[in-house]
Amino acid sequence: MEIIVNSILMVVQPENMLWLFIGTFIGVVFGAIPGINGVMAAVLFVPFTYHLGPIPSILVLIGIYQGSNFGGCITAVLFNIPGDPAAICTTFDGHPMAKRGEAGKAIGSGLFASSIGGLLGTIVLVTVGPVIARFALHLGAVEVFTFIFLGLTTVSSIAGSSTLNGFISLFFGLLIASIGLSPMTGFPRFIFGSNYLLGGMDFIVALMGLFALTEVFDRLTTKGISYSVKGLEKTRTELPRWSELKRYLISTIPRSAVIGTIIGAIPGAGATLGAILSYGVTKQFSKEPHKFGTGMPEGVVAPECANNACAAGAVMTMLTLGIPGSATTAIILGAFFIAGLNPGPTIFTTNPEIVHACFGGMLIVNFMVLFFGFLLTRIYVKAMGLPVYILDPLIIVLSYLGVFSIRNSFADVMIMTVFGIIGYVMRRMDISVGPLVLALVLGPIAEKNFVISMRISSNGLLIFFTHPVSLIMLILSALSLAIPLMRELYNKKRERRTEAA
Amino acid sequence: MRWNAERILGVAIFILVIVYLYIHVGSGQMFSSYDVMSRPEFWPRVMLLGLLVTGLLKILAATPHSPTRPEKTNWRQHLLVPRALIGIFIVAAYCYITQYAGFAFATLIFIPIFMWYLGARSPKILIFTPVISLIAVLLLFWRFLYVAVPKGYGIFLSFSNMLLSLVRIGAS
Repeated sequence: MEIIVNSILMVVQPENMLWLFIGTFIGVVFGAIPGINGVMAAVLFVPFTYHLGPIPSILVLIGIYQGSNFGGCITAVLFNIPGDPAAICTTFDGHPMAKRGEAGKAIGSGLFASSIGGLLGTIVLVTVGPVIARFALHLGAVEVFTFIFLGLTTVSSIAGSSTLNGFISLFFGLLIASIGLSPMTGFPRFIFGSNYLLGGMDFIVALMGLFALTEVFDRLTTKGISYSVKGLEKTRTELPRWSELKRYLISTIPRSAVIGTIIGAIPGAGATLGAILSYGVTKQFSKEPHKFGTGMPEGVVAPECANNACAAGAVMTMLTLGIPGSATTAIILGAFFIAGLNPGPTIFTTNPEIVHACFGGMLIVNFMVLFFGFLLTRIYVKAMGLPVYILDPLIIVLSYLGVFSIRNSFADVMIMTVFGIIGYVMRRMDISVGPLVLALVLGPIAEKNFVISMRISSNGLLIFFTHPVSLIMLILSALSLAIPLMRELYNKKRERRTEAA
Repeated sequence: MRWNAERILGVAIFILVIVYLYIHVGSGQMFSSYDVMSRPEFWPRVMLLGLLVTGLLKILAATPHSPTRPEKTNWRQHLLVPRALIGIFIVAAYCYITQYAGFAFATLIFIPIFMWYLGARSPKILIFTPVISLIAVLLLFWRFLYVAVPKGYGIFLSFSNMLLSLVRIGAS
């Protein structure tokens, strides 16, 4: 308790609050621009922090980190374009809710879940942070591979209209992810003599093509002058009602926060995996799992809560062990080094004020996210009310520059267009693009950890069954696969019986 | 479409592509001392097999078992929507032309064409939207975020430089 009070007191000084406020604003705005994610925003603003003191610079970056985690939710719900891969699961239920005229409720639920998830994650960070971080460090390649395996099987079996379609999307994504140099041997694969392909596929390029461009192309099949969202003019950010709140606080939020914090603490796993696992687990535990994907508020609450809790987990590993848990924390770690600080177990004794500022920043930023969420959602909703003939060209131009800015490559822009066409074809064939993008993000990490596991194993694949954590993950994977499959077969059988009758 | 020549041809092409990629990814003798599952070609080959199996299952599932049962979806009709195809062509052309014509010029041409294609007819909207959007986007990406926008070649390069210098003056 004393740590929490000290941490808050450290941040509530006017100068520190101002920098945290600015960082959160930048994070929410940039997180909601297609093609610019939290990592890019943090990279762009690191040079501005050189002249600030260590505490303000870290607070700006924490604000950007948490703000961008929520920012992705706004466009995911309103436009079906996730700001970053971690928001992909939010599109599954968030956009159908928006189409039904419940955009305000979807964003409100996501906003509330983000803030509470961030708060719970930070409380865990303050209280048992070092213990979890040490536990996470014991998880090796074998466990990380099975975590990703569980994430991918879960999302494939739950995304889209059928399990088979989900797996087609997954295998296609994993295949595309293997283009370029192999992660462990450096052997070139599927490059066909092209130097560009040596670097592999950037997931932001795929994300923009598969979501932003596909959305535009698909809308071309139906004539219309505005986004197909009912009651848009009345849309306001609506926080969940008390009855819903109780339901979320009892089950969905604590479960997602725990999943998010643990996954966030594992270096390299990232918020995307946390969001998928949390979505999958929530669906499996739900009394109405068949309604997921059609606009269930829990489908927005679970990934958004886990997403922000992951940030706390990632900061925890960075502070206690000096190992960044995500790409953005790697940039924050850089800011620590620039300020002459060395994160790790000793920082708690050598620079306690920095640790307190981090804790305090992670706590207070959640209230700022709530504030900006309310404020900026109105502006985005107004943007959504613009006619399609203004919005769609703008989406194309923003996606173009977002992708071009990654490495100033025209090839990236053309690849984005190809992904847009692939996404269009997949959508028309009723195949969800979600597993494909997630496979692009997690595929290289999965392959690397798989190969490391095989190198250290003397029994081949048996290694995954001999480690307790990985065994549990495999059992959960089998269940996540079997349950929807059995449900699908049962429904088909029933359908046939009805048809025959 | 039932198990006719067209569908058989489609399946044959799908299998051939998978087989071609399966063979092409091989590393030959380079990593022969490695365990099979640690070799660089193992992972993509497993994915290819996964794609082959799931793809064939999808084709089988989409093929009606009895000749009297109707086809679930007519994919050709479903995919080849002329309005969408022309739109895709306009976007692809814009993305391709930007490298030669520069971002500023190509965007000024693309936005009104695409807006007109999407149904905008008011001359005011068709003129002012591209100009305002371009200035806003250039201010955000080029001026503020230091993203190097493509400038094009020849006369387009001069045009881009002129426009960017105007944005620079406007912002400072």
